[in-house]
Amino acid sequence: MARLDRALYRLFLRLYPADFRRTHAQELEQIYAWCMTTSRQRRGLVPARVRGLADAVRGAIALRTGGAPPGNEPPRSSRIHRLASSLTQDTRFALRTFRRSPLFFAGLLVVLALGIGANAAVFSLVQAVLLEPLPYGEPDRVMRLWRAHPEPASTVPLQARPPSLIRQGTTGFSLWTWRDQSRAFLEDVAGVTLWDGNLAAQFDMTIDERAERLRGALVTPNFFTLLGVDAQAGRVFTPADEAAGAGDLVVISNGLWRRAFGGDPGVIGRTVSLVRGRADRGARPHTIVGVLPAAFRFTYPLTTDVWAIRPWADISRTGSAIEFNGAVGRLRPGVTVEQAAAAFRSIPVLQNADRVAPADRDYSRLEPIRDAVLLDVRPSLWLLGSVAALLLVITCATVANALLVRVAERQRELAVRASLGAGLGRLRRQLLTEGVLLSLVGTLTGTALAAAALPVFRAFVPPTFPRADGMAVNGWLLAFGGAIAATVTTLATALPALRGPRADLMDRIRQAAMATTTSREGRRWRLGLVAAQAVVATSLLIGATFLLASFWRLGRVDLGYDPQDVVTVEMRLLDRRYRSRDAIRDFEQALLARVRAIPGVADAGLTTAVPFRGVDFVRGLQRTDNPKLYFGNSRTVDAGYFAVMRIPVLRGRLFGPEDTATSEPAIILSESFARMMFGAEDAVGRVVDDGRIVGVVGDVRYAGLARTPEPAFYTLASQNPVELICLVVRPASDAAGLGDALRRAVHDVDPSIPAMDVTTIDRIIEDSVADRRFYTTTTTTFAGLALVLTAAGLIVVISRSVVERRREMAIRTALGAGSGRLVRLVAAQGLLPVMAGTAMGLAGAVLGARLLEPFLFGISPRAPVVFVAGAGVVLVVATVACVLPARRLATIAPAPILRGD
Amino acid sequence: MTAPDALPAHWFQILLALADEPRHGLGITKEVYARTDGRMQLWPGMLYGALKKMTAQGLVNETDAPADFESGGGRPRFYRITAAGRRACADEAERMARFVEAARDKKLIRRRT
Repeated sequence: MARLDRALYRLFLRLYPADFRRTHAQELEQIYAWCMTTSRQRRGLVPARVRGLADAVRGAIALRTGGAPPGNEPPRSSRIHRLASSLTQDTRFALRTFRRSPLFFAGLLVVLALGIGANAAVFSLVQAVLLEPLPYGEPDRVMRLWRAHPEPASTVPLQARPPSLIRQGTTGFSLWTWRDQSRAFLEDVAGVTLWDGNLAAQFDMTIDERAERLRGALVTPNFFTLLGVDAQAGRVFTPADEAAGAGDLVVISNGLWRRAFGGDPGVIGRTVSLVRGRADRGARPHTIVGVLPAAFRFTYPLTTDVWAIRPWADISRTGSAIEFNGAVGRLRPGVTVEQAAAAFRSIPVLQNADRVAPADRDYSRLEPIRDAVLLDVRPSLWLLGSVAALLLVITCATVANALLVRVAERQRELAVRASLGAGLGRLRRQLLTEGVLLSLVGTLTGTALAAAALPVFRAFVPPTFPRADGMAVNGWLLAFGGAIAATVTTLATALPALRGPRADLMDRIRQAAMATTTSREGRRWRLGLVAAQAVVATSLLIGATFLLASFWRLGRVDLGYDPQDVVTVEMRLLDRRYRSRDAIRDFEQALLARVRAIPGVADAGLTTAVPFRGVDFVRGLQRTDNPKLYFGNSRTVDAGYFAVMRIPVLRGRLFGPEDTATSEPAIILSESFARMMFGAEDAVGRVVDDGRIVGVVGDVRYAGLARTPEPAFYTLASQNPVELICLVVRPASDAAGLGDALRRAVHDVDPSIPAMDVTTIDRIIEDSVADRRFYTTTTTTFAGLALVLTAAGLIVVISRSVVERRREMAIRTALGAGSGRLVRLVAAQGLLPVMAGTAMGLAGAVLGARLLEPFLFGISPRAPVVFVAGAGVVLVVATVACVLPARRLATIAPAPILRGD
Repeated sequence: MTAPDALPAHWFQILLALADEPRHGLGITKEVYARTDGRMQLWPGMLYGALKKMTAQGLVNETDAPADFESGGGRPRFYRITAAGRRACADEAERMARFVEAARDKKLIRRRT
């Protein structure tokens, strides 16, 4: 017998009475093993296992109950015993009930499993992202320190700066100041320079004979000890390295260790040649002192591969270059985050802060590292969580309603049982057992469904959700499943069980044969639940419509260029050889010549940064007549760039052959930059501090779909060579296969230059809205489910009404009422509560839409058309759901009904 | 529909298995399995649940293992049919025989010669 089976069975054996287990366990196991062997041959492993475990439960019940010799029964009046036996009886009875109407209960199970599955999936995301502790020692005391821009007084979120942009890099001066002046509340402060903000932290390494650009970091010697992280192999940096003079030590990530070194433990102490960016060009030997554990992360969604040491001694106390991505600090025990944040804010962050108006002055900001990691996704998580909770409410309402209807259908059965001596409490307990059983099975199925679908869901979650890759079936998820089970059970079954069987049951029996109508009260509960469903469905649908409309508008934003199929490749010329401008120029010329020669390339150009990506330089230009600096996004491009991107020239000309390395520097402005700098005057031909303006081109969205285009100006690559090079290529037909050819071209020009991130601009743009697409899709799916559930609930309720009122309807028909009139009558009965619910949902949505504002683009949260559309859809679907079952009345034949049942 | 005094099918099979000699749990399960061509499989819970009730009703008795019995380990409990059990089993067989007889009369099955 498989080990698993043995373990499972031993677990189940605990159900048996202890003394029986002592004497019989061995035999039980033997028989079980034999039965498993024979049974799995006949029926397969899983059915055999289910059978075997079910048998264990059954045996345990049998051995714990009955079995005493007749006439010699022990006193069985103990309450618990009675309860237990009535529970078994109820369970058995409930199972029989389920079997009698399998479709009905299967339907309910599907509803429950979907609602709960969706919730479990969302929860597991929330858990992985939000609840799972960060991989540091005592992570709650680890703080992130920033130089922060004051937040604008009124924010239209998303269209203003995202929260990550309020947090800025910092200087050597502020790092030292923070360290010196925070001793009272921080144990320590460590500086970090990351690859995404600074070339100095990018490293080129040759892996498998291919130059590769690594994401790196420069950290002060106390960085890892402050975080409370130890190496998996070797060691991390320690403050002692500072005293030892550090040298070029690196710690590598677990991922790089596996990828580049095949997980070789001998890597510790080995020397590797790394090309560091900007600060000290050229390859230099670095010594690997440690490998970090796989769980360690500092950057999201991309990992950092190489951590190089940066001794404090190398950091200038007066340094004014922004070279650190903030810092990390550890709270002293007993200090609260609020106290620390307040104290930290008073530390000056810039050397000459008083030159800036107080409202614009940057400040020192301290926040828990968790907040810094979750910065941009916390709202999305809230949205998803709320939507899932609403879906759960509607699921419960649907199930409760179906069970209520079920109770109504069983009045007669209940009455008979009551007349045979079952008390009211007993009947309630039985209905409760049915509900509990149903919810339990539903929860199990739902949680299992979510667990099974987790890998799919995980693949669907965009990488912008940090740590979503940690989603897993774990104790949290199971605990959540348990909590949900309790909620669902209470919400969905309490009402039917309590409202179902009532004291006047005996009257019911008498009524049952004669009744023309059923009690108004029972129906009122059902219709009330329908109304509640409509409330939730309406608000969900309106919310989803808002998100869909935003997404739709976002997809139709005018970018100012045509990203379709444009392939990009990024490069950084880090090596010492590219120190001279001529070397960069030669590289660019050689590269362009090779790329243009590739068959399938229609056109190619160069720029310093791909839209939505890369480093954006903000620089100022000055008019000759005015000392004011006009700041804008500065890009260096070649003459072919505008044609490849299809950016229209509005006035003047583009860069051309007349602009050479030695001619007068030419500058092209974007439309909004020209307007900002020269107002209504014509900018073309004007001279500014950096050259002459030769043309004005259209505005372009470089920073994000939802952000308004920033003013920009362009300089010419041959006049102003920059070591950041992005190739943009428009293919002749389609982009497939072009990537490899471009990589080869780069390799042919200089094999030591890694070609990074080969992709198309439309893909980059698509990725930039991945999280938006994710929550929009999820919300829409959930809203659709809610609508379906509401419709299903209505159909069940109206169908029941038709049955209950058929006698009344038969009388009406006999008295001459037309069938259309009857249909309207019954349908109206369902529609009225839906209308009330929709109205309430509308009111709720009007209030709630403001919460949605951060997620909206190009549409006001008060746009009436959305509310009307959302409510309209609910009403239309509800009308159909009411009329469909009511139409059965049209075919009613009054005579047989009036004659009797 | 079975008559009210009908034995549960697996009780009958257990009694039948014990009719010729005392057996232990696994022995009963195997015997019943073989006789019913695998149609009735007595899983341990079902078996011991039934044995407990049958003991309570005096149909079977727990008994010592035969002297010559050797097992892989432990000393399993043996069960032996009682006089009452024998009677109950015979009654049940009798009852079923009547149905078989009826089926023969109606020419559903052939008479054994």
